[in-house]
Amino acid sequence: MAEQKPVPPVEDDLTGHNYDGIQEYDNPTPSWWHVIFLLTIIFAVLYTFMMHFSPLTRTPHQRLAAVQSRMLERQFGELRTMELGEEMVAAIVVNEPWIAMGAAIFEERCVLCHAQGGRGMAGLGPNLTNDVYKNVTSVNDIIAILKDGIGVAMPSQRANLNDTEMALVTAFVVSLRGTNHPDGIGPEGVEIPPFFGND
Amino acid sequence: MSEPNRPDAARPAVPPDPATPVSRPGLEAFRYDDAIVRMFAWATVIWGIVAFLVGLIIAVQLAFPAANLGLPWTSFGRLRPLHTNAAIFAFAGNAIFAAVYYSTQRLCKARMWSDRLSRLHFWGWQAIIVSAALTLPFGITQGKEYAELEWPIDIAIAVVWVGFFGVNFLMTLIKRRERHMYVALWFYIATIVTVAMLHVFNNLWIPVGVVHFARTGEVPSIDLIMKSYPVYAGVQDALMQWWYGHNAVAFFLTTPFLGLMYYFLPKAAERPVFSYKLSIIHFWSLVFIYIWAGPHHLHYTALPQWASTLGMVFSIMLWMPSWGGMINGLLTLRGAWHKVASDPVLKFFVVGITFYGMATFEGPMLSVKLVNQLSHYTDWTIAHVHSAALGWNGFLTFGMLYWMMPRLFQTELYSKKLATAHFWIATVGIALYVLSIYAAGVTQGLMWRAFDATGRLQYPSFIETVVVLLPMYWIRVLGGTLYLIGALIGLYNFIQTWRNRPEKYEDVVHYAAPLKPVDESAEPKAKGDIFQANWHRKWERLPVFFTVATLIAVGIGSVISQVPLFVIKSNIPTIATVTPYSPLELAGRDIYIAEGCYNCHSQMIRPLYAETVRYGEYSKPGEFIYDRPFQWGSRRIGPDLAREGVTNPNAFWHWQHFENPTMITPGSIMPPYPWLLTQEVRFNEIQSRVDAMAMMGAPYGELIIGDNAVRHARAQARRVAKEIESQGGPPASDIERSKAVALIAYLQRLGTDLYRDEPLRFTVPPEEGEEDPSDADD
Repeated sequence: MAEQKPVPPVEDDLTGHNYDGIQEYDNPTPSWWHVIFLLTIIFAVLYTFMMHFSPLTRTPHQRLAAVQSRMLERQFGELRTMELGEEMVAAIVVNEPWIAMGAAIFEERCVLCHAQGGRGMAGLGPNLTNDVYKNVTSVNDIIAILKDGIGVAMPSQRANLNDTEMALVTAFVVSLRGTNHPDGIGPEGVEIPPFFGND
Repeated sequence: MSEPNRPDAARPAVPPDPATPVSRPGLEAFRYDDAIVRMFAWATVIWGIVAFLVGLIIAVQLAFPAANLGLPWTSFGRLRPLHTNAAIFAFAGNAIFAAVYYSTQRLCKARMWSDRLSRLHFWGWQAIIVSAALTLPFGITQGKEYAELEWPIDIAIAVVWVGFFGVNFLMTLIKRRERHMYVALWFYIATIVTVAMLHVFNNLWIPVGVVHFARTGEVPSIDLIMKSYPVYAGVQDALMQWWYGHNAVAFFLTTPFLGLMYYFLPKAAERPVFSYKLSIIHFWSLVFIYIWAGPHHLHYTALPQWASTLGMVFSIMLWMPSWGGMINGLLTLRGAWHKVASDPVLKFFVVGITFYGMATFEGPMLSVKLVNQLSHYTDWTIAHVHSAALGWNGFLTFGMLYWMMPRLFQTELYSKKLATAHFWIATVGIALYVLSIYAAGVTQGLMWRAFDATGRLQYPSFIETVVVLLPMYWIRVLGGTLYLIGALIGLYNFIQTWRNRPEKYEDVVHYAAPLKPVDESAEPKAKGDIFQANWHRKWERLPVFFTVATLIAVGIGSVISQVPLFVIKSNIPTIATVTPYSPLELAGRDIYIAEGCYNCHSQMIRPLYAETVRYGEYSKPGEFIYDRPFQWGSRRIGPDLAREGVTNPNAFWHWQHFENPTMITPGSIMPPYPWLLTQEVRFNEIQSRVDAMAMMGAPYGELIIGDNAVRHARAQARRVAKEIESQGGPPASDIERSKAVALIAYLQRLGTDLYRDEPLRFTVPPEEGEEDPSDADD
């Protein structure tokens, strides 16, 4: 430490190193640096233990399953006990919040081809707002198409929608009938009788 | 600590002509090679401006899609990799080399070991950059972020980096005349060995063109010559890629710039470095811990949970090691803050180091799984990256250039005022950029997960979450413009400085004694306290040992975080119905990669409720075992496509969407892809793609015999084309050879294997007019 060097304005000890004129102080590492570093290491150990070796911690997939069943309950409640079919759809059609849910599903899954409000897109999906239908004569036909798809354009929705969601979106499609969207594309198919007899 | 051999002390009085060597007893005369530094410095400035300009263009494209110009080579998906590669490898890369070549010579009291290697390094690297610019816009890409450059360029990078740069650097260390290696050199060592390791292991591939040549004896198209498939698939490829991607940030954009800081900051501030002990502990903790943190880019993906946790906890432990550099930087300025007010160099350094501190706090924060749930796939990541790249890398580079250019040109800086103007304009530019893009990221992240009172998605249409961002995208354009203007002012200033250079550069001769063998017994004894650092002092005398020690430090984390995924089968449970892509789908997938679709679309549905509602069942590890490369993406500028084949298999929809996305989705910022509708697939080369995949274990059965794969592809193309025709599209015979049809076949397949009762079986169609299983027209 017997180096000759200019005295710096800060009164810390120098190490005596000199590299191309660069010197280094012999200062200790700040204590808060050590403390936080140690805390992050402790956190890392505890977190790893909690996530992987504690029986109380659920995996992301278990948490997802819990949220899914909770959300199903919240959204559909009593509907969950009903069986997918005309009767269930009839119960939904008269229920405003459920129709809104059907509309939301429609927007998630159907507007790609049937467009906003079900007005249809040429070649992709027919207009759903008039009284003319291509492959449908009854509510059950709509359900069957949702389940299995039809032709090359309409894919099966089994992987996308559960039974309740199919009933909800079917009810929404039923409710679209006769709204005659002003921008609807031309009719495809034949006119069919009302879905629910005296509708 | 006594220094038995201090050449400084022995430096004689200035000789009459410093450029003429004179004989001095016990001392060697040498000159520094500043010409090579000048070359790298100019390359830094010029490539920087190119990188900023391309960045600005793609920023405009997001706000104003017509700026894609309807041309293949100017579309966002192809230009974005050009921007990232230019910013990282051209701008930051040349800045690193300028810094290394300037400081290493002075810190070692030695000229670079070989002038020839220096030149080969410079021209080799510039050739690599040019080859990037000649391949990426033409869709020649590996499809892995920041590792886009295809296999011949990969080889060139390895040769230039290790063979020219690495050898030249290490030999300079060995031939040095300064007994101990300064901290800047430690960081350069870490950079060189780790980048070499990352680059080699992430770029192991089978070149498809070679397979084609071996099979047919014919020279394939340039696209196929340049095409390769990685030896890793799916989850393994993802882990390898983000081990690489994350540590490219660590060892290309952090460690060399810390080395740069440790040399140029004390030089500019004319102050000693705050703490030698901190240098030691933060260097070793940084290089040891950084390498583990890669999996934090893959939280909630199909990556096994243990790897994800490892990535998170090591990122958190990385916080203080990273901040060690910031502390040492900022506290070095104690007693020099008055200079910051007047010196633009120090202004750039102070703001750069501050951005480093912010980014290295934000990084660990983003690696926390719960934070990552919100931030991942959004612009938050983009904002984080740019606060680091523009703030830390950019400002450190410009600070260094403003300090170095007058010294390189042996004159005064042309204008300090212009340098200060550059600083302020660029600072405002960064602020506008990152603030608007943070806002965009958080906004979109929250919109994606918002539910209404009935429990349905509040914004079920993806496009709703895009159009709200446009004002923020315009603010980013403004910020980027300011940053570019700053750089142009810098360029002008450097040119004017260069014009004031002397007629002939003075090539000063320096004198230093050669190193004698170290008498270890004369060195101070270690006192048993690791913070006394005497053990480390010894390491600083041993460059080869130091290099090996660094390699071990980065190797431990690499092995422990990577190897289990490759050797423990249960990490990737197989799914019985998952089969390889059909030949046409494989060709379509390669088009997906070439167009850079992964730059905007992810293929990874996380097990989060909002995602399963929006995109479908979450992605399983076993679904990706034939994905070479994986295409999980990192940013959803458009929606996820992992289950596109389930949610939207409508061929005509995709056909029209490629033709004009806004016709299908009003407000869409996706550019049109009209060339896909007209350009044709090279069917005769599909067999080689299939064969290359089969070589790596994909079970293609009899499709690898003869040209069965080609026949299979033609039959499937005809089916897809007929689907399009039946829905009102163009006649099938006109479009069955188009790239769009192949790409649509790939999209129709995505995510569907999970829902099959039986795995797909590839059967070879009969010669012509094969049985057509397509349903009757509806």
